[in-house]
Amino acid sequence: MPRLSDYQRALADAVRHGGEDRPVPPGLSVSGLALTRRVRHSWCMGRVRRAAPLTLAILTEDDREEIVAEWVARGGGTSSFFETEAEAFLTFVSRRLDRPSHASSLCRFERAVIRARGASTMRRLIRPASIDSMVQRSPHADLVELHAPVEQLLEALAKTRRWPAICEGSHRLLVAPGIAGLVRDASPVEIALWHAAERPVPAKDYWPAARSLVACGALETVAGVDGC
Amino acid sequence: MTACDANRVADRDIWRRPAPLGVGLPYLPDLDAALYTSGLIDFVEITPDILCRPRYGAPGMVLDMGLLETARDVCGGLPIVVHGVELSIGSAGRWNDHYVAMLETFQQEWPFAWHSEHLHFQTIDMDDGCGERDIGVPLPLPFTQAAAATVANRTRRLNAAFGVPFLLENGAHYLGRLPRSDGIRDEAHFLNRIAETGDCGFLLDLHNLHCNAVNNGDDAAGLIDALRLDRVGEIHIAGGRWSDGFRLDSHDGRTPQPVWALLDDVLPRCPHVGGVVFEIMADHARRLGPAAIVEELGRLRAIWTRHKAVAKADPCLA
Repeated sequence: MPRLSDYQRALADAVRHGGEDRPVPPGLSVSGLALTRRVRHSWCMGRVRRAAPLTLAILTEDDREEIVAEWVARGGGTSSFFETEAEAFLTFVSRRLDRPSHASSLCRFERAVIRARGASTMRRLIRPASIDSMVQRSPHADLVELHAPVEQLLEALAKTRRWPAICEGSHRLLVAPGIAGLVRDASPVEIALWHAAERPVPAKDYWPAARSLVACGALETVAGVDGC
Repeated sequence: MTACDANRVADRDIWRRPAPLGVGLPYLPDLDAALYTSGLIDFVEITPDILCRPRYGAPGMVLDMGLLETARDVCGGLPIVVHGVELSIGSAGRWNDHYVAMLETFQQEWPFAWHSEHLHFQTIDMDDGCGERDIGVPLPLPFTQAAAATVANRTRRLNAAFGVPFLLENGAHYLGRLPRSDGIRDEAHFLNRIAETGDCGFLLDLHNLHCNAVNNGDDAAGLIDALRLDRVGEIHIAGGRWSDGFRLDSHDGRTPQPVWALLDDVLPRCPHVGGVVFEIMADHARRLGPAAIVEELGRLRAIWTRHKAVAKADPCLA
């Protein structure tokens, strides 16, 4: 009898990697192992589909099935927390999508909303910005550029109109845990601040926008850094 | 002191028996909340994992207090028990420390009468520097001394941490005859060894027993005969479906007749059982509908009442 860890590795390997060439651990049922693989595969596919409904909805059926199957084949679909699964899957998907495209921007939007919603449920201490502080982007927030008005995108998702033409630079949404509903339009000064705050910047250069973006969780004050 | 008095004293020292609660139902967020306060159930079985979110910026999980408050409102003051799914108590490397930490917080927020987990492993360390990773499906343990000792060490830690009875659920699988060694003859022998060395009880899942009998040729009645039924603290019944000639443990329908028959046989033989639960998955509960769930609970209630009335009349079982 092999060590417990060796047994578990062999069994997990046999279940995770289908294919007739894989050895079956001694004594186990071949048909039962095949069923276990199918059950696992079905569960993993289901977890992925539940994790990213918006992004998957924009893809064609063939693309959707192909991309989910590839993700599961790479070991995805195993997390029971849909936020964890969504973060990993949407990161994977985002690298596969053309830019600019509606699919790419909606993928980024969906990931941003999931991050912000997760952070909004946590009890976190927000250090308010003072005019002398330095601020930078929060990892729980994002500025997402959509390439058409939201209403047109929603209608296209509902299949009541064709996908609108790509229109760059006009529809920017701020997604952050402290915004009511998590999403709102970003103003020009907020857009400029967001871009600048990829690295710490003095709050006074963007006051009072810096104060409001810290308050809604889009930016964070940088501890121990004096902006003066 | 009679023989049954002596057994009681010996057992009290090593295993804290669940208090008798009655008929239970899992907490299903989408189910009609009125079901929980209808008087049809005596307690609610909570899977705390569904009230959690991943911890942002660090591994692990944290309770979502909003989801917890909603669950508490729905349960309307009924006693609760915990039925976890994320512990992976049988993993050779590490169990899920984050689950244990979360459960400590949960217990402070909402005390439970007992808690349970599935006897399986669902994470694996592939020695690639990534630590434990999810397999995606729970898998059974071999019936070996090493596996029994791994689990028993952990159940003792759970007893010390939580101070309420801990129950292990027998699992369903499709893999045929599992490996065994070290003189451990079968599943009952394996379970008994864990319970005796780990000071824990059993959550006896009768649909899992039925699945293993159908799929793997196991002897469900023989397992019941060989199992320490004095350690059964809770019983699950559930439905499933057929796929490619296998009986799936899918919790997606009504309880089949063979499982009702097993319940009728085993319940009067479990002197310390605290509750019986009709298990169903959230998605399928919606499809099944409240009327069918009420019927299942009614049948469960009738069996529970009949056997508990008999037990009260027997001084050794009371």
